[in-house]
Amino acid sequence: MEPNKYTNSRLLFERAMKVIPAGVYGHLGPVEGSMIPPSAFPFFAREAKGAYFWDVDGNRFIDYMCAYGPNILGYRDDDVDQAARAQGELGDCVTLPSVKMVEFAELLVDTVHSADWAFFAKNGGDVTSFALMIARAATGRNKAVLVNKGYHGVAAWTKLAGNSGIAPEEIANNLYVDWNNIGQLEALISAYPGQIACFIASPYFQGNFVDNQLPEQEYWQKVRSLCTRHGIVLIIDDVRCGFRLDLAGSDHHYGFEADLICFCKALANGYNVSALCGKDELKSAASSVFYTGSYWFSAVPFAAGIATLNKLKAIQAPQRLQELGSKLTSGLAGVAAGHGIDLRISGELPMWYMRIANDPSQVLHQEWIAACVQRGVFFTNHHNHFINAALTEEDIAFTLEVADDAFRAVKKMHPELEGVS
Amino acid sequence: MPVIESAKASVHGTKAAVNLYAVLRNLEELCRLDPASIALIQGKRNTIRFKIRGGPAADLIIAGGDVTMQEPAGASSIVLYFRSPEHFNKMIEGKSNPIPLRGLSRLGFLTTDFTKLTQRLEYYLKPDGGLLKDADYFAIHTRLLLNTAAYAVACIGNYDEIGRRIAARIPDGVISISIEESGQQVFLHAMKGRLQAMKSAPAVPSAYMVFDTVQSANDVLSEKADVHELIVTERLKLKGMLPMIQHMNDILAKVPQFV
Repeated sequence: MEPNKYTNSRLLFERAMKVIPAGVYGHLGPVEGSMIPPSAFPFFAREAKGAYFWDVDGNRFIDYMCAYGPNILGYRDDDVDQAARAQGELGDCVTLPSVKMVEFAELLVDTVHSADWAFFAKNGGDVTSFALMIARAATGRNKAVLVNKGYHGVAAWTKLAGNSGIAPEEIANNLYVDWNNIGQLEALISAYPGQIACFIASPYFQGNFVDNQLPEQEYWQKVRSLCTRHGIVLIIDDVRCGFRLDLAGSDHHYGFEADLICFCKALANGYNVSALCGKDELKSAASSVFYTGSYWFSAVPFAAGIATLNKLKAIQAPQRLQELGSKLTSGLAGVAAGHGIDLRISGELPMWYMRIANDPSQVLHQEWIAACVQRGVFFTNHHNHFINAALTEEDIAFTLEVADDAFRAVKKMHPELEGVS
Repeated sequence: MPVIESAKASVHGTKAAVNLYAVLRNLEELCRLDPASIALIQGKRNTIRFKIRGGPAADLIIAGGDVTMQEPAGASSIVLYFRSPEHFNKMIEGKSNPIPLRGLSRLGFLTTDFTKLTQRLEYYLKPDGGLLKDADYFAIHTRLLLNTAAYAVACIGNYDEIGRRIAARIPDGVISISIEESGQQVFLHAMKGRLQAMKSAPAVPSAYMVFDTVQSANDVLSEKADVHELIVTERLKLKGMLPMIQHMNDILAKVPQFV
């Protein structure tokens, strides 16, 4: 297979560097650790459809990052785009909200097991921050318990001491526990009696550079019980997992009920909307926090969200994503094993994490990922991946072919691996 | 080098550690690279102990045409005492004098040869624009700059309050920082939140930060270049366990506060 060339991406990046901080900032940028080495990756997309995107050099990629989660049905899904277009012809950002806002909230309350109400914003970080404020408003307490290495967006309270631009006071109310560690949570509750407003976590642990970890047996039930007993608001950050594991919410998937649950990413198949859903007893506290934004009432994303949720139900998306994820990951691990490589799969299969375990520095893994990208399969180095419903059996077969060729290329770079298998 | 408990949260304590372990340590390298410095220590034999009340300590050993810095051990020919980390920092800035406790008969060495050595160090660490055009000067200047940065990161990670919280997040292992063109390589060993800078690796590195040229390294270390651009163009290559480098960079960003 002939590796891709990225001439136009590089030229565009040079232009971007002159007028945009870091050229491409944030999680889509080439300096945030997901594109190693940068020369193996495209930087700009020209178009996208279904399971693919094409970069500005015309290279096609099967996209296993799905825009870091929003693409769940396939890019430019006809049904979703049609609903968005129809609403767009009526109006989008207007002085008053549309009927679509109410319809979307009703649909979410009907769909999400723990939801009695829904509130809309734009990004995942908008609703995790709002959830924290509601918890404080409802409890009159300041402290929040977070899981070490968890991710809840980029607001100041989500950051760590020493991060650029962060004052120590902004994170002074944060307390941390390790994932799956009930003992640490109990100890914090004892150490800060009546001071903890909330416990916030993703449904399972999705750290980068490390294997993802599922909740241990009864973990969530124990957390739920502790939170209820001590008046602590249980917030589930379902921004990344939402609707991929269970349309009724990932808390439902793991057999418990959150007090507040945050959605974004897959909610509207790429249209810009996020949602916070919650229990009735927190509705008044939610109303008491003044929280809004210029585009938070836009009707087009609501229409897209309604179409997305209806289609996800119609195609039984979580089951389909699970089947596709299972076929893909078992195939990848099998191809790796054929080369004597130990490719570890972790997390939930619709959004699996993978790591070559032969090399603790993960340099070998980075070289293999780079070789896959150069051959048209878009993985990133150290983030969980995403399956979308437009992925086909042929796409999986092609992915496995690429993975095989990439392993061969990596082994050529490492004569010490040639002897294995 | 030992961490002095009382100095952990003190800005002066951190600065004293940086001045001693990162800045003054450059005399080791300087006396291998700079002919004028080499000439100053030829035939000289002295151990200078820096003793800072409530702060770091080290022996600077001048013997056999070499300078080495190590933890205080055994006898020393000269003991320089400082009443506080602040006192030591003022001495480094040329605004105060040490209190010699031992080695009064060797004060001549301190006031002549050693002073000249520290002046050579300043000459290389604080360049004026014209000097940077000289290739030999530029090479030594950059080499010392990289060493200073690596050792300063270790000091800040061990002494400064925020630095210690960042260091605690660095996964155990070794970070290699190198310049392909010159072959210079320094290492930062992280172990349970303690950092140690060194010039030879105690284990296979887990993360790599590789500058292609001396110029690229200098551009980043002297904050003349956009580091993002260097990474994307692969003049600065990063690979391996990047969280180690990302957390280290949070400490690196604090170095100008202390140097």
